[in-house]
Amino acid sequence: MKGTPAQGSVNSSPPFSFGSASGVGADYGNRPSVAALQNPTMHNNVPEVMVNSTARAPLFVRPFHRGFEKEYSEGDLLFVRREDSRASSTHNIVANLPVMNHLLRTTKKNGTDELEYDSLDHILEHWNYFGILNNDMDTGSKWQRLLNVNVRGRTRVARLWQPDNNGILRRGDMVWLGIYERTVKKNAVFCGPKGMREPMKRGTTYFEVCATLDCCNNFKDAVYLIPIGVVSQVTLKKPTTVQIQKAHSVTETCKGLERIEVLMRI
Amino acid sequence: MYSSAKRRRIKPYARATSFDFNAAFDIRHYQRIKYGNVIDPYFPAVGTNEAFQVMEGEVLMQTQKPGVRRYGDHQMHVFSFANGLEGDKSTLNSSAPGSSGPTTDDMFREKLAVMKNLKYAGVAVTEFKPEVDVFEQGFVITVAGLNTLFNAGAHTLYPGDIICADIPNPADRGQRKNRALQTGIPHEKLQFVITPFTKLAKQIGIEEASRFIMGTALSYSKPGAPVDVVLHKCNVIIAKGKRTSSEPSAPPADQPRKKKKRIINEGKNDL
Repeated sequence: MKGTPAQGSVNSSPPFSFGSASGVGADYGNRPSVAALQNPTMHNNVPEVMVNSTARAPLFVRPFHRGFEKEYSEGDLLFVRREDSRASSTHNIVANLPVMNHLLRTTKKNGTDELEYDSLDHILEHWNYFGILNNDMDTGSKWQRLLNVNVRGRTRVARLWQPDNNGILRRGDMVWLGIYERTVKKNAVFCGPKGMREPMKRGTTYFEVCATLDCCNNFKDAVYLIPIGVVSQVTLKKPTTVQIQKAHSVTETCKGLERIEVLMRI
Repeated sequence: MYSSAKRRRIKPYARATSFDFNAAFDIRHYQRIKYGNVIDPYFPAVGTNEAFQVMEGEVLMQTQKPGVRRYGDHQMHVFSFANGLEGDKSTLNSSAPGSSGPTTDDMFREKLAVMKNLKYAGVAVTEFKPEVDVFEQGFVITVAGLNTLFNAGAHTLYPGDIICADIPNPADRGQRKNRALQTGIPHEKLQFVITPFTKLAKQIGIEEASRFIMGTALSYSKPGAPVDVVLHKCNVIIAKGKRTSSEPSAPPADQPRKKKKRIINEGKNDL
């Protein structure tokens, strides 16, 4: 009957129905069940993929003697060691930024007092930047960690970047990691990943991985620069310079930094 | 000793964050190679139809030669075989029977000449058989996102390595240079291979190598094994390294001349 208004009944065919008759009687006999109500009646199926999606890859982590890997948390920048010795194994030696800096500062050549990582080539020969930690995929084991690592797209990362003169980090800024060559001017004490103190002799030359921006004065001093991503969301609260410096060497401090959102490898 | 292990490309991941588009097969390049219009090629030409097919997961290239690219349409025309590629006039037929092959110094110079005529295009998502499929319909290629490829190159890949599309080096596999590593690929077909950026940069120079950057390796892979990768056109890497004190003052022949400052533009490909 064209032209006459309909009864107002809902479409009872999926996906619009609650799986029950439309009319609920006085005895509530036809009321929809809890399970039926939990089934979504609206769908957001779209022909295109969602924006700002993320690609992740799993990474099996070999444990350190001192259990550094147990402290890794979401938003940590991860490096992977390139090696053949464990080629048959699927496990990798993985370091976050504080552990990486600790290894660069303290790893010695066999039987000598000289640092193993005494040149950029040596670092690049043994370490690769991999991605940013998202979450743990295997929470059941206390011996090993299977990390889910963001390798492309949107990701949260510790706010390690700060423009010079207490400037403001903005959306669209490109964030980098730089490898810097440093020389200890006087006997100094550094903090390790777990906060333990590590003395260094005066005159020692070592390498350090630091967060940097292309607007920073030290940007051009880096011997190698790795692009991390483009900032897409920033928190209002700025970390202090001291916090940022400490976060480069202490995992717990790095964990305490606010997280920003970056788009990586786009 | 015979091994029953098949050298296949097993895909553990969905292709998350992929960017795909349609491309056409480079039918002119195909006809030129197939019907013997190539004199003194760098790699031997091949006559079997199967060698010209584009298979899923193969690395694709475009030719930069203006004569071949003159299609007059807006399509990207790509191919997946290195057979019959030419360099400049001085290149040798490195696989010709009886040839002693080039020296190491010559080899990379010749390789550079061949690669100057190429441009990285992407990775095939669907297959294309030029003898049966519709040319106008083309096939799908991907330039970004997670993917699993086959490491048909000569180098071991480590997680985090920046990888490049490359042509196979004639000396890489000695007498087996004409044989494809991957199961199911005709032996005479020479596929484009994956090489770490650091290795390719030493052979043909940083600037030229940066044109062929594909993305980043995510897993350890020996030659002849699958490798998980994330394809991307990632921004810029700047390297201006202080080198080791033990490094010789003159760089070896296969080293790039520029040493002071290296700037790699990874986004130069105008896809």
